Formats: sequence, C-alpha cells, structure tokens
Amino acid sequence: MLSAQVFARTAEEALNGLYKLAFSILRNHADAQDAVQQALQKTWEKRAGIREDTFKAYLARVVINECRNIQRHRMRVSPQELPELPAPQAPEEYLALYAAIDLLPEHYKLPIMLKYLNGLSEKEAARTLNIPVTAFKSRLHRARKALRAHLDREVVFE
Amino acid sequence: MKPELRLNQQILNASLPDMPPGAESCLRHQIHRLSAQQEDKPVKKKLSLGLVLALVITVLTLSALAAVLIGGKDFVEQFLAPKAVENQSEIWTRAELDELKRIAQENGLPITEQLEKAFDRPEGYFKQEVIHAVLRDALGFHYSTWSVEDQAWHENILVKTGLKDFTWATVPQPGDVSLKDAQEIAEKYIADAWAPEPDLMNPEIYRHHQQFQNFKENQHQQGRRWYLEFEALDLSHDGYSFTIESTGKVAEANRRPGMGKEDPTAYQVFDRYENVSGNMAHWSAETWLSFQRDLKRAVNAHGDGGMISSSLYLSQEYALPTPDMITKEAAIQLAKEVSGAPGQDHIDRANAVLLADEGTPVWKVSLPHAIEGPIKRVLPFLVEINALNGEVRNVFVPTPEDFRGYHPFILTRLIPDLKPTSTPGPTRRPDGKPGFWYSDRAPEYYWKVLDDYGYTKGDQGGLIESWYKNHGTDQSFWPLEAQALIALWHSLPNLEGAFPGLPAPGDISQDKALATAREALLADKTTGLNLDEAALDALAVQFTFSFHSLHPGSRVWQVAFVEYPEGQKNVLASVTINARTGEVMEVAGGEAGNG
Repeated sequence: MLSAQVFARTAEEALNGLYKLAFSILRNHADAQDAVQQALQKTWEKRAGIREDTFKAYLARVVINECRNIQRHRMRVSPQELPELPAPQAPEEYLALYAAIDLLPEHYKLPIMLKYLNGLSEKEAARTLNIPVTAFKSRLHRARKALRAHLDREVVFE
Repeated sequence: MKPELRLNQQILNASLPDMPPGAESCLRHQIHRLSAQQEDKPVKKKLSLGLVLALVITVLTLSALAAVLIGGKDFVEQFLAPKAVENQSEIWTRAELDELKRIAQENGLPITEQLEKAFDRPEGYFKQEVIHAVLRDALGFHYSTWSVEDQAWHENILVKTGLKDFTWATVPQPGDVSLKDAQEIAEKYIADAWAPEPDLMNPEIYRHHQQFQNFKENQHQQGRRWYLEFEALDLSHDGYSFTIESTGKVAEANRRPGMGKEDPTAYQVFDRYENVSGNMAHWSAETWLSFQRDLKRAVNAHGDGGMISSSLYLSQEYALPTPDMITKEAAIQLAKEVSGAPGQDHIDRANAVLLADEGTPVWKVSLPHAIEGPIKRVLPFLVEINALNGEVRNVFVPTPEDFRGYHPFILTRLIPDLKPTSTPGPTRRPDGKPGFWYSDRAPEYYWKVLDDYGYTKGDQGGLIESWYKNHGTDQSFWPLEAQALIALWHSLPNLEGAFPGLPAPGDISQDKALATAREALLADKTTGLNLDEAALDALAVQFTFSFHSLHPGSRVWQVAFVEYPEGQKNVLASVTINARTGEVMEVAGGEAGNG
C-alpha cells in the first residue's frame, strides 16, 4: 500500500513531467490539468493496491488513460474541433525541438516523452504503454530517427 | 551542417510549454489535500484468520520487550503493532483511535500536533498512517532521512502486521559498502564528474536521504544497493542523487544544478525556487522579493527565454508585511465575503500573496472552487484586496473556456490580454468537416478515400473504437486509412512535416511493395540478417505509408518484418520504398536497442 507521504512526495516530483506529458497529447492547458487532476484522484483512491516502487510509472499510465478519456469526450461533444496549438513558453533554441516533437505521431511521441521527460526506464515505459519492451525500443528508435529528420540535424540523446 | 542538438530531460522539459502557475498551484494543492484528507474511505484489505493468529503471536513476542519509558519506536512495537493485528481491517475506527490515544497519554508518549491530528480523525484512520505519524515525531519527518536500521525495522513491522506485502529495505551486511563509504564514493564522483562540493556533508546545506535495499525485479535484475540523495536546502548549491551497488560501483548519478556559480536562465530560476521553497502559494514575502531579484538577473543575462510569465513577475512590485496592514487570514476572510465567492468546499486551500500596486500593498487572494460538469474542474476565484484598508479592488474568475487569466500571483491589471493572443484558424469547414480537410498538403484522392472511409460521417468515436477492437492497440497493423485518420486526429491538425498518407492510384500497390521489400532483404548484405524465403515467411509484416517523409511531396512505403520471440514484438527489419518509382530507399535491420 502506498503511504500518503510517498504519494505526496512522488506526485509532487513527477507533477511537472506528468503535466507536460498530458499537454503533449491533448495540446490544451485546461484539458491537461484536468487529466492530471483526475489521475491524481484515481491513484489516490486506488493506492491500497499500488506498490511504492511502481507508483511513478503507474501514475504516468493513468495520466495517459485520462487523456484518452478526454479525447473521447471531445470526439463525442464536438468531433470536428481540434484544439489550437498553444504557444510554447520555451527558450528560442528549443522551439524547433518543440515543433518537431509536436509533429511526431503519438505512438512515437509518447516513448520519447516517457523516457526522456518523465524519466521512466524502458521497462517501466513499456509497461505504461502496455507494449513489450522490444516494441518500445523499436518505437523509440523510429521516434529518434523521425526527430532527427524533422530537425535536420544530429540529435544526441542523453 | 547544423550543430548537434542534445536531448535530455532538462532540455526536453524546457522545450515544452510550461504549466501555467495557476494550474501548478491547483495541482499541488490537490496533492496536499489528498495526502492529508480525512474523509477518505480506504478499501479494506482482509487478512486470513490463520495469518492473523500467526501475526498475533509474533507481535506479542515483540511486545514482551516492553520498556519502562515509552518512546515512539517502543510505542509502535508494544502497542500499535499488537493492536494492528487484532482485526483484519487496514484502518482503526474512531473508538480504536480513542483507545490508542488514551494508551499513548498514559504511557507518556508526547502527543504532538501532527499526532493529535492522526488520532482525532473523525472517521478512523489508516493503521499505517498512525504508525508513520508516531515514527515521524520520533525519527524525523522524512522517512529516507532515518537510519537504514530504523527504516528496515519499520518496514519489517509493516510486513509482520500485514500492512505491507513485502519489503526490499534491509541493512548492509559485512562486505557491503557502508553508508559512510557510499557517501565518500558519491563525494568523489561529484568531484570527478562535476566539481568538488565541500559542503556536501554539512547538514545545514544538504539534507541527506539514504536507503539500502536488497532488491529483485527478476532473475536478471537483483542485488543490494544504496540510494543516496543530497537535497540542497538553499538556492545556490547543486543537488545530487546516486544509486550505488553494494560493491561500491556507481550505477546511476544525477545532478540538479544550483544557481550560484553562473547566471541562471529564467527557467532555472523558476525551477530552483519551486524546488527549494515549494509551491508559489506558500512563498513568503521575502522569497518573492529574492525570486524577483534573481529572475531579473537571469533575464538581463539571457533574456526571458520565451517565458512570457517572466515579464509579468518582473513588472509587478512586492510588499513586505507591516503592522498596519491587514493579515493574510483577514484578507482571505474578506475575499470569502465577496458576492459570488465559492462556498466552503475547498476553502482550506485558500491562499494569498502580498503584492504592491504603485506603492499600495495588495493581497491577491485565491479561493479554489469546484465547477461541476462532465469533467470536474477546480478553478480559482481571485480577489484583490487593499492591504491597508481592506477594500476589494477587483474580482476575477477564470472560466473553463478561457483559462489564460489564471494567474493567482500576478496583479490582474498587469495581465496583458486574457483573450487568446493569436487568432486560431477555422476549426470547422462550412460542410462540418475539420478545417484542415481538403488541405493541399495531401492530394485530392487522399481526402476522398478518407471521406469514403466514414470518418466525416458523424461517429468518429465509434469508428476509432472499432479499429481498436478489430485490429488491436498496435496501430502499425491497422489499415492505412485508419493509420492516417488516427494520426490526423491525434497530432496533425496543421499537416506539417511528414504524416501517414495513402498511395496514389499510380503508385506501387501494397502487394508490390511487399514483394519489393522481400527481394531487397533476400539480396541484402548490409544488415547481416541473411534472411531466406523461409525466414521471411515466418515473420509478420506491417505496412505504413507516409507523405513528405523523404522530401516535400514524397510518398513512401515502409514495410516492416516483425518477430515475436517469447511473445514480445521485435521489428527485425524494415524496407523503405519510393511509392512512385518502386525504388528501395533504405534497408534497415535489428532496430531494437539501437539509438
């Protein structure tokens, strides 16, 4: 069972990354906040069955699920309206990177986000996406290639 | 040749739009509220009767070691642990908490404010949380600052009482590096990799977290290891964390840069202040002043780095509280009395920051309130109050539709434009189809095929669900039309860059692409795969088709050959083909693990 202390500490540490993960899927600040808000509520309610060592990855998975719910809701309510892309508040040198990541299809974008933004191991990230580790590696490889192509420059992944 | 771009967590983090300060405040409040909430009803976990009896015997043995003077650990061993196994619930009832509080008082256990709160939960409380509350008072607030002996003892108590299934926490054995050794290894690593940190072991500068584990994730991943974290308690020092194997080998090392040595960027100022001083809602007036000073220095040195909020924080003044001002609590009370202010639902999360407007001190009060709807939202009710006379200067309430005014820490009059700063293009055509439909970024036939596929006929949700149902979650095996549509939906409203497309009538067909890919792999000498016909027949095949991926206007097939060793998907080889000419552009193999 997850203690309140571990819940608070882990959620606080992961908050920024989770928000940006949600934003990268939903492209809308209010919806991203909703997704994270719902995910926090749900993980708190289910904390009795969550292990401390898997909590971070679990939280990321619930955030992605909540994003899916919101996307479905959007489709039901106003199927033709896609959200506008908010302007990034990032340093100029990163704008190209932001644009390139935004152009990636979601099945390439999420591996990049989970590994390099949310700091999950490949195994954790694969579990989060409910795919085998090898499939995750394969997608990550393609995503890196696509990013290099979009940016037209060498990208060193650290 | 453009210079290379480095991509790591820090850069990726900086390249994505920031969480609006209000959203962050709201979410952090939620975390605090959840982790401290009283009304939560836990899911009860049943223990077997046999296990309960065994646990009673075990814990009674522990309690036989009763000490004369009760301390936190003794109280847990002698009273809380035996009491915890008396029944199968994970919570103590109100009556049980009363009994435990009486026992604590009778045995002279100091009842601190925190402990009082744990004992006084009106609907009962988690056994584990009560144990934590007692031990926090005795051993320190942060679990990972306790000695590893205390951590292991505590974890084993939880396991013995059935409150935890298992634990990796243990203590080092002879032959394992000691904590002191591990800290010295970390210190040396820091000096070698970055720069010597003379204050590393100074507890006034760094809070030291440590854990020791005997872990086993699977047969290939197991062992004994230290987790060390050196949490910088001020803004200037770097923070560090380490995983060190019991042999002394550094398995992982991370550094969180401080701000002292060189001028930080605006982003680093925000990041560092939030790390050291917590959520903006809880910053003192002195912290705001210091933050503004550092932010100004950062912006002067590097510009605002595109962080629009930087200019807002720099353009306003901050005041220090004086005896003639109304207090924060009084300001919050006045805000609650404003017409239309939210009720009591989230009132414990109200906060206020002291600002100044042309010399007049102003409390900006934020009262969170829930807005019901298909998705529940919590938005702030923002009230600015003259800190000298209590006059309400203005009230602003962001709406779910216009979130941009959600700046709980900025004077409302300074927020330049609460409307969208750019005019979005049409999101819908007159015929009801998405605004980008019929864009010339894709050929005419593409839109016609997708129209015929049914996407614009009203039930997109049902259509997408049917793809998942019929083809599974791996979209690379979906029909090309579905791949194109899901990409349009998820990521590509502007149709920039490459995106999943469809072959033109004169392009090589999917069957021809497959035959070409097979021929290419059979003849291939570069990948080292040496596949023959039989090997290719044994592999699954997935097809993707993209527009603009080679160059603007290009149409490309990618045929991938997939194996499933031990049930896990592995793309063994892929062939990229120019769909117009049938020319093989690339043969790639053994992707997994490459980077």
